[in-house]
Amino acid sequence: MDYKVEEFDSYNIHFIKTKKFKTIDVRIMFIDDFKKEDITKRNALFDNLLYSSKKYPTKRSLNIKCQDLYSAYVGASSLRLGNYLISKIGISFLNPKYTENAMFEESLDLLKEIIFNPNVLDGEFDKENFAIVKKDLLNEAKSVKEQPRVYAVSKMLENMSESLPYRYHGYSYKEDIDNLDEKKLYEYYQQFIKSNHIEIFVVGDFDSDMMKKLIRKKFVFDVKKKAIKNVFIQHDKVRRRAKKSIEESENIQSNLVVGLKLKGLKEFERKYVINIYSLLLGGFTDSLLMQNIREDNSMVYYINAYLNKVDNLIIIKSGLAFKNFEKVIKLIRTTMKQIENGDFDENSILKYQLEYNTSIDYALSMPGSVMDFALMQYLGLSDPIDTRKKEIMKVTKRDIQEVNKRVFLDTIYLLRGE
Amino acid sequence: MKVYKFPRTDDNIYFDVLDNKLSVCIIPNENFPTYYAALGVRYGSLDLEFIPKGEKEFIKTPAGIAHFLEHKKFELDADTDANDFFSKHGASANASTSFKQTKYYIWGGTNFKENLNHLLNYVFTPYFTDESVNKEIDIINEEIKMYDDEPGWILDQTVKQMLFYNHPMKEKLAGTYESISNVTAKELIDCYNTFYVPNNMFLIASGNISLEDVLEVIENNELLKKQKPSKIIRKEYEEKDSVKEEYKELKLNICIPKVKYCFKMNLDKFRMKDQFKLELYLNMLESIVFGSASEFAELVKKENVVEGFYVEHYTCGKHLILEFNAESDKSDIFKEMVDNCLYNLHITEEELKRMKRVWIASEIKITDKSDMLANSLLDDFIEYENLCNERINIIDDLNIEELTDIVNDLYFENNSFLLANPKDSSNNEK
Repeated sequence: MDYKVEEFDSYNIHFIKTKKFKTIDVRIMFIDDFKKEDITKRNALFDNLLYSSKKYPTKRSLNIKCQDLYSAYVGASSLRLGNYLISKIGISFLNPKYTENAMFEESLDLLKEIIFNPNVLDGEFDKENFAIVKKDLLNEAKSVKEQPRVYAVSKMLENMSESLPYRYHGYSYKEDIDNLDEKKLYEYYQQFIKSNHIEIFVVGDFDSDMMKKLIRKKFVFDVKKKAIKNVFIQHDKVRRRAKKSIEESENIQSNLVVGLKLKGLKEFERKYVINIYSLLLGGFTDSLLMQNIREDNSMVYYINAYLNKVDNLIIIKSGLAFKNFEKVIKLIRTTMKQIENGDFDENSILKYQLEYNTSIDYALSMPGSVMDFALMQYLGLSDPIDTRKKEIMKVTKRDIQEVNKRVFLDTIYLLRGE
Repeated sequence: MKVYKFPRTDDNIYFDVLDNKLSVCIIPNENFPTYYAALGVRYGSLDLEFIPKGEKEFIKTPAGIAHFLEHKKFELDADTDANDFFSKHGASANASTSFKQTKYYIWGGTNFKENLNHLLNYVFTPYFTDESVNKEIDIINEEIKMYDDEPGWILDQTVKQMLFYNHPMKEKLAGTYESISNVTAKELIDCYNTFYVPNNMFLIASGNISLEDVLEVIENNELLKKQKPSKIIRKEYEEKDSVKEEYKELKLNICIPKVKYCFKMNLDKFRMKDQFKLELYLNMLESIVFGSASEFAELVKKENVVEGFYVEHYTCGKHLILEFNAESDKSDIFKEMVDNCLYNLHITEEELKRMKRVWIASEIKITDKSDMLANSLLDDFIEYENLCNERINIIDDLNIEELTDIVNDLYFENNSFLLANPKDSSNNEK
């Protein structure tokens, strides 16, 4: 892969040239400080842009166009990265060597239409389409409760902090949806398109000069780049005694979510040791939690730990019978103590290091992950891939024992089943 | 090994059937950064009644036993789990069970040959004891409870009970606590000996691998050499063309009402006898008439009839099931609109042409994703007992005449309608 960044006043273009993919992916990322109400506005905005533009006024007309472009895929999503919100909109299309040359420019034109020519009349988005988008968002907000495992994670995070950004989930909020109308959303669009920091990524086999010219010609933003710093969330407090909440439900199984806060990690720990720690604790089927709680005690079918570096969190999730709730919590604590005491096989570290490197390799098989890696590297949040693969091998047993001192079991949430 | 080219790309696909009748497929792709290998067994949750190897009488095994066997298959002896080797050698492993298949698969970045060898070793090493079976019951029970909290899963299981009288499709894929509590080591051994035979299995390897490495492993694996083919006799079920139950309502922990509207059709009534082609045509039809670019999809959103919906089909014994799934608080109007559309089906040559283009593009794209491609070929092999590597050419040859015949052969008299409403009606404020 040949990775090059070209900097311009309004945005940077990241060219990632590779023959690995038969597709070409172009993605525009809009980055701004996190604000809770922007979650809903961005969800509504991008749904609306994809629902209706001047040239493709209905979802159907846009989908027909995509089909004509040999099943080009246009998509958008917004997510929080630490203290920032990132919205991504992009197109993925077959490399024209498998189709027709004209498709190249046509595909970019389609993305341009969606971003710059929304279906607006008299200073507001088209009413009929906006109504559909609004209803979809309301339903999405309601349906979170239908997914016990998703709901339980959002409630644990809500319990964990009164104010930090991670207490807000990525779904739209009913009160914010109710506050939106066609006019307000269009006003937000006008402000959004002029105020966000923008990065553009291109992945695939293409001519860089031609691609640069096309992007510069078609994607003209009147914005100035900003410095993206302080991405990592620093916890306002770490509880000495974990906060425990239990919510009743009509579910059969109880869903447990445990939040571990990371505080005071040194650079090497943050970049590498904590990854191995998390894999050892609850990464895959060979983790200590799976061994201690599933294999030795048959109490759960799954128990996994997920590392979220920018939020400085590890989240443990499991489904269990309520009668085993306290026992499982005790076993989680014992397992953390086990790590601190070094009561694990030093030779097992190698398997987690290999798992880490394999997961990087696997992610590189997907254009979307390639772009995400490039962004993280560009923002200075992670090292280049080759460095990562080498540095991870330096993590020692002592490092892992030591980092456990900076991991705090802070919040326990149980969505209680029968 | 026979070598084929994937149409429209330069990718090679190698295929052979070994002397012991194990089918092997190899798809090297140096552009893919990791490797993937899977050993599939044509044995799933539907295979409940059969004649065990070496015996003469049919036996009936408990619902969920194929899934149970998959769980226990990782144990190599009292102290060794198959994963121990994989994780020490840089690979990850997992397994899954569906209605018609059990699949054991690995992926990783290093030590491909060693890990492929171990995949064969562990799948071909049976170790089942009553003690370890008992230990697994609580774990699987937690898994079942997890599924039983998923509304989509409950609807799936319920509608299958409405559609089928006798066929094991009506049973839960992972069984129930009662059914799995009765599983014994002896039953697992019977199932293993009967179905885990090379003529009933398919090995596929793809990604960053070489043909030579796979062949070397296959030629030298002692356990694989010992495997012998044997005939499998499954029970065939008499299943009526009608549905068992036409209408049902459930109350669930949901916020938006959900609908399943299913049509049961006898495959014998279709002029198209090539099931692979029939299903390709049905995929086309579903995409054209009900897909994201269809008039129907636009209308149901515009008229505020559904939140979301999708259509799919599957075959089961002699029957085809066409299934409409929707989230809708106007289920009666949705039903009427589906009926209206089905009874007035008409597809133009232009629509078919566009959809062929879409599907061909998807077939080209999937060759980038070695693991997905391998799974797609494995699933097709299990379903159709054939290596379906010519998909693109077959799609290219699909024509409006054959599609029109299929449209004319579809019939909709036998159907089940399942409606799930929120338990708590305050969840469903308009």
